[in-house]
Amino acid sequence: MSSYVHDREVVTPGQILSNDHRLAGAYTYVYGGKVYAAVAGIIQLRDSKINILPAKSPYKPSESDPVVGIIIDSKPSNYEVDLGWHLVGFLHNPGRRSRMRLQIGDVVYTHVKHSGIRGVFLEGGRELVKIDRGLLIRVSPVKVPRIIGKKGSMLQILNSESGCKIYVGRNGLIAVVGESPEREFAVASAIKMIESESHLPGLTERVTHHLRKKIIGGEIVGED
Amino acid sequence: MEKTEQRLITEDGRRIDGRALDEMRPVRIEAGVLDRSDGSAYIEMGKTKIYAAVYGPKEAHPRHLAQPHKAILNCRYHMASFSVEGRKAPGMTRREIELSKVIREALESVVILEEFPRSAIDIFIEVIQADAGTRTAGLTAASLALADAGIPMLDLCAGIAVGKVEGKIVLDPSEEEDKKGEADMPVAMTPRLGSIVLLQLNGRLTSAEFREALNLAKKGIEVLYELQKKALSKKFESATPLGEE
Repeated sequence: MSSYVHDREVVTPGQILSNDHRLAGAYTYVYGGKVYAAVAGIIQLRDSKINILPAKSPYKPSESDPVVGIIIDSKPSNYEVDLGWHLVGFLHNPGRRSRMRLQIGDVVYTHVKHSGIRGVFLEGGRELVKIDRGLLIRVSPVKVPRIIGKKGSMLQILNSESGCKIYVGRNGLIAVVGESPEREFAVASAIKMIESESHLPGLTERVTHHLRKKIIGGEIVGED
Repeated sequence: MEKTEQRLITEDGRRIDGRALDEMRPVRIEAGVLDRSDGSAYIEMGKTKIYAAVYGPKEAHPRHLAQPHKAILNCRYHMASFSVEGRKAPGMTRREIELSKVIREALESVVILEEFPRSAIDIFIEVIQADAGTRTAGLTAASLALADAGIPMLDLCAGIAVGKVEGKIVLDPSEEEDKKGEADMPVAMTPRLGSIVLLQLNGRLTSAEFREALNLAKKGIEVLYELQKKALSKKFESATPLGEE
C-alpha cells in the first residue's frame, strides 16, 4: 500500500496521504491522482481505505439515518423540524387522518427519508415516534458512534443499567426517557462522560461503574 | 543644521524594532478559543491581535443567495473601534468591506463548498489590535478557524505582508515601516498546493524586487503554516477519540 501515513496518526487539511487514488476514504479528497486530507483528524485505516475521523464535524444527513428533532413550524402540508447544527428537516403532515398530533415544540424521533438538493425529508408514518417526556441532550455528531458502541453494545449497557429508553439521533440529539428523573440524569451524565472521555481506554467499564454509582434503587447516592 | 530624520533601517541592517530584514514579528497562533462558535482561532503577530470565528454551515439567508450545488461564504473583516490609535468608527468602512471581499475570495478557493449545498458558512474576523498586516493575519486565523470547525478544505492557507523600506525588501512590516515605506505587498498562499490565493501591492516594485519579495513571503508563510498545523494537532490530540472500540 503506497501510503504516507499510519493508523491513528493526526493529520491536518492538505496533508498528502497516499499516491493511490483508490484508497481515498471519508474526509479525504483526490487531486492529481493523489489522496489528501480534507479535515484535521485521526487516520483510520479500514476496509483498505484511508479514512479520517474528525474531532469535530458538521452533521451531514444521509438516507436512513436515525434523527431526533424538535418541531419548529407547522404548515398545511409540512412540519419543519430543527435537527440542530442549523439544519431543518421537513416532515410530511398527514393532516386529520394522523394518529398523532404534532405541535410546535414537540420532540420527534424518526429517520431521514431523503436528503438532497431540495432539502432534508424525514420519514413520517410508522417510524415516527413522538417523545412527550424525558431529557433531550446534545452531543457532537462525530461522537454518536461511540455512544452507540460496537453493534450497539454501549447503548445496551446504558439501557440495561438504567432501564431508560434512549433515542439516539445521528445528528447528535439524544432523548432519554425513563421512569424517574434521577435515572434520566444518570444516563445524561454517562453520555456526557462518553463524549468527553471517548479517547481513553476502558470506557465501557467506567460507564457501567458510573451508572451503578448514580442509580441505586432509582436514587442518586452522593455526587460522583 | 541638517534635519535629523529617524532611519527605518540602521547601518548594520537592523530594523527599528531590532529585527533582521527577513525576520517576522513574534507569532502566537491558537485554535478553538471561543466556546460558542463552531470553529475559532486567535493570532498574534507582534502587536497585531485578531480573533476569527466560524459559524455554520447553516441555512443561507436571504434565501435567494443560496446556491443549489454549493455553500456560500459570508466573510466579515472588522476592526474594533479600540484597535487603532484614536477611535475608529465602529461601522464597516470602505476598506473593511474590500478586505472582507478579498479574504472571502481567498477562502473560497480552499474550502470544499460543494460539500454543503444550499447552505452558508459565516466567518467573522475581528481585529482587536491593529499594527499592520491585519488582512493576512486575519486570513491565517480564518483558515485555521475553518479547519477547527471541521469544514473540509483543500489546504490551510496562510498569509504575510512584505514591504519595501528604504530600498530594502523586508518581511512582515510593522505599522511604522508600512506608513513610511515605499511599498507594501500582502501575499497569501496554500503552501501544500503552492497556489497564491491573495496578492495585493501598494506602491512600486521592480520585477526583480517583486520576485525577491515573493520568495521572502513564501518563507514567512511556511513558518506560519507550521504554526497553524501545530495549533490544530495540539487541539486534536486532547479531544479526539482513538477510534471506535
